[in-house]
Amino acid sequence: MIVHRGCAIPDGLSYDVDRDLWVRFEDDLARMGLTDVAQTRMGKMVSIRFKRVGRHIEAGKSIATVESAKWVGPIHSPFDGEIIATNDEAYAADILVANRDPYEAGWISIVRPDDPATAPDGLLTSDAAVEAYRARIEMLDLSCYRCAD
Amino acid sequence: MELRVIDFGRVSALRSQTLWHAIAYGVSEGAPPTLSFMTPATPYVSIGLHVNIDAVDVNACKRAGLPVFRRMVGGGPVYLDDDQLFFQITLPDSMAPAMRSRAVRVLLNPVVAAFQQIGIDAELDDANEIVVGDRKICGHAAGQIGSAVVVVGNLITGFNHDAAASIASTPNRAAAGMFRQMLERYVTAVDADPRAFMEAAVATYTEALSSLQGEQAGDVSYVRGRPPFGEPDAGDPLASLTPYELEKLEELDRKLADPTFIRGESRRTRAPWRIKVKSGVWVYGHANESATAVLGLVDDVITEVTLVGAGRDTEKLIGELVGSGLPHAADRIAREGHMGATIAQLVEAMT
Repeated sequence: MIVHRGCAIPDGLSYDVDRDLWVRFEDDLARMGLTDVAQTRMGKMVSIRFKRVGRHIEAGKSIATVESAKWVGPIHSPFDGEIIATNDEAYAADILVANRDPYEAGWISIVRPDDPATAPDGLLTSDAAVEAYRARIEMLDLSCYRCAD
Repeated sequence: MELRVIDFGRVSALRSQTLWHAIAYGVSEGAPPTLSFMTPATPYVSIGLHVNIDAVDVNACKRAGLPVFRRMVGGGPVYLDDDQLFFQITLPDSMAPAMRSRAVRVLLNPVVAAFQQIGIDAELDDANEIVVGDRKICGHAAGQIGSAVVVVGNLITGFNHDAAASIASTPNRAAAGMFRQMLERYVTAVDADPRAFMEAAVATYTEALSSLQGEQAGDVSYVRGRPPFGEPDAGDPLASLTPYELEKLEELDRKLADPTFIRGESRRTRAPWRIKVKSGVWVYGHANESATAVLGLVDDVITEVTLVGAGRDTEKLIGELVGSGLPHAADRIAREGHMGATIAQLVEAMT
């Protein structure tokens, strides 16, 4: 785990740095969520709408939209695929779950990529991801924080 | 820095939404940062992307001939009409401050400056609400569409409080009455010339966006629309849209008028019933088999109380509630018989 300016960048994940998204590959599935940078930029979430399970999405289209105060923004998928599961229950129980625990309890959706063998452009792993994220955090001049319990 | 300014003038209710959505997609695909204006020819209701349709009294809207459109940014249900000039600032996400709340603030500051330039003593309060004193004078919403950031708002030169109150879904007459009363108290129109406001906003946004990019103000391409705010001999403002924006406009005309999109997904409504008047100002309501309680709160302090079926001690109870914070109210009303139980249920659900 690397922490840069308060922003956690856990090992073992892939990152779409431009979209502030993390991806954990689990066999032929991909679990996705907001990074620490994303939840910090967003601020306290007030609602989330998931694209339905079973829906096929294209790369660059949203798997969910989130609202904080009067701001609504999409969470974009890095690849084409079918939505297999969404984390409705966790967000129904605690809408701030991504603000508290973005990499574990606050995951958003699980997608089955159409082409699991080919990593999409822009999805980085390990050292490359960490360095790219460090640079992004500096460029955004950002320091991360989490909601306390 | 180039700023495209488009004054669409008076447009249909649907186009007063779809035009700026199309611009957001255009800016996502390389169109320049854009400041746009329009006013709807006919009144309607707009709801935020995540708002449950049940928050709107759809039957009342039908009776009044008010269409309901869902927008792709945040915020609650609002009544819109031709006494309002809509403005939108749209820019690439990469130009906006990283923190969303900061981006909204930075992109609302030029509006406040424009209000001030035309003689209105507006301020941006801590909750990003544009106010004069403690009264809201401008609604706003924001979001990311594609890779563009858009902040929308309105100059309100006349506010129909009755219409604005009537479109909200309320559980009973007491709650409807209090919402209407608090709208009157906390939301107001301003005496302003829309054209003067537009001219001022062009100047303040040009300066603000140049500052965001660390550049000198550059070219402003200004396309005027038709009356009431534009020029009688103005050309077609649609000509200033890119082919991609025109294509998206047609697509959005269909999408935003699609009943399925307007209805949205059903979701559980939270208890108790509540409605926002402006930031920090809410009306809460609760009823059980014996009584109804409606509370108005300003910054978590009870300022208004309506009790129905409270029995003989109504005045005493109201006196104890007004001015109380919620935890104190819960303690103080716990021993107040069946009305106390009703309010206790309400307060418990609120906290």
